[in-house]
Amino acid sequence: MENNPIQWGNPASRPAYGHSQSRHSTRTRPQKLIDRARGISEPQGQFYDDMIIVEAERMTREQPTFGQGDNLHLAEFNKPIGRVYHPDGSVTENVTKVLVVKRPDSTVKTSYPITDEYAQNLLNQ
Amino acid sequence: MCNITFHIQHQEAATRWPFEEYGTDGITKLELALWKFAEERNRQWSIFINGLELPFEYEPDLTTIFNEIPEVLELLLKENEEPAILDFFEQGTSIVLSMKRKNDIIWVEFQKTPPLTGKRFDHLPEEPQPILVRDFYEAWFQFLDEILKMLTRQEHNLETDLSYIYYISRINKIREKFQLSF
Repeated sequence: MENNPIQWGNPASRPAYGHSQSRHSTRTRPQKLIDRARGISEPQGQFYDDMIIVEAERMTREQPTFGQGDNLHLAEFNKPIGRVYHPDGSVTENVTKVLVVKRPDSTVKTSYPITDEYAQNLLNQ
Repeated sequence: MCNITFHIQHQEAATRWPFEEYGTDGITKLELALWKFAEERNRQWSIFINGLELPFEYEPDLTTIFNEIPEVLELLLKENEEPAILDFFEQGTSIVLSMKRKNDIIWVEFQKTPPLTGKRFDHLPEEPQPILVRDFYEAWFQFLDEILKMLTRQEHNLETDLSYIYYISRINKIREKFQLSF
């Protein structure tokens, strides 16, 4: 069966950007992310603007991988791009980093905002 | 001694989110049906490997690996050099099941990437775990049959869509090959 075309530049394109928009977009209900963060005791990121999904992929095209994973990339925006919901109910606003998880063919599996501390932990492992 | 079982736990979350379609450009009707189903039902499921529980949610975890399941089942019909991979990649899960078959045993290795990998997987050992091939396939066939049946109940025209026909044809071919091998 033929694959659907990859639409670079369209954050809604599942073949290009994976689950980034369907899980972490401006349209994702905050309560859904809060519930998941609390339910599985893991932080959940949400973008302020879905076009950041597109920009993060572009920024990481020529980048080496990040941390332990051979498919992880980090995009540093140096400006606020999203928030992170924590398991204890707190929220970190104005985070500046996006973790991008890619497939071997360089399309994106998912991407989401992360805090500086989380990025540092990932790097230190 | 070695077995793998799948449990579809029917406890639904207290809050059921109405389905909103976004971030779905370029996906098949089968993928869309699965996402809608997973969002609305918000159910949990677990893989049990020799007493070790791997707890997942339909959304996002089942939707992250659903398309990879046929390929994994095809690869493990015989001994494989390159591991068969199920990558549960979403935030807060981030665990890879890397599988190799040797004779009638599938060896499953849990690959974690701290701190991305959920802490609920901390108990999984580093040593590969053995699973009997027959148990592995029977559990997956049963699980997929149940999921696909629920999807066709939800989406009445799904059975005539090419994405569904392609998926179920692959699974049925694998099932035939598997049955012939025993």
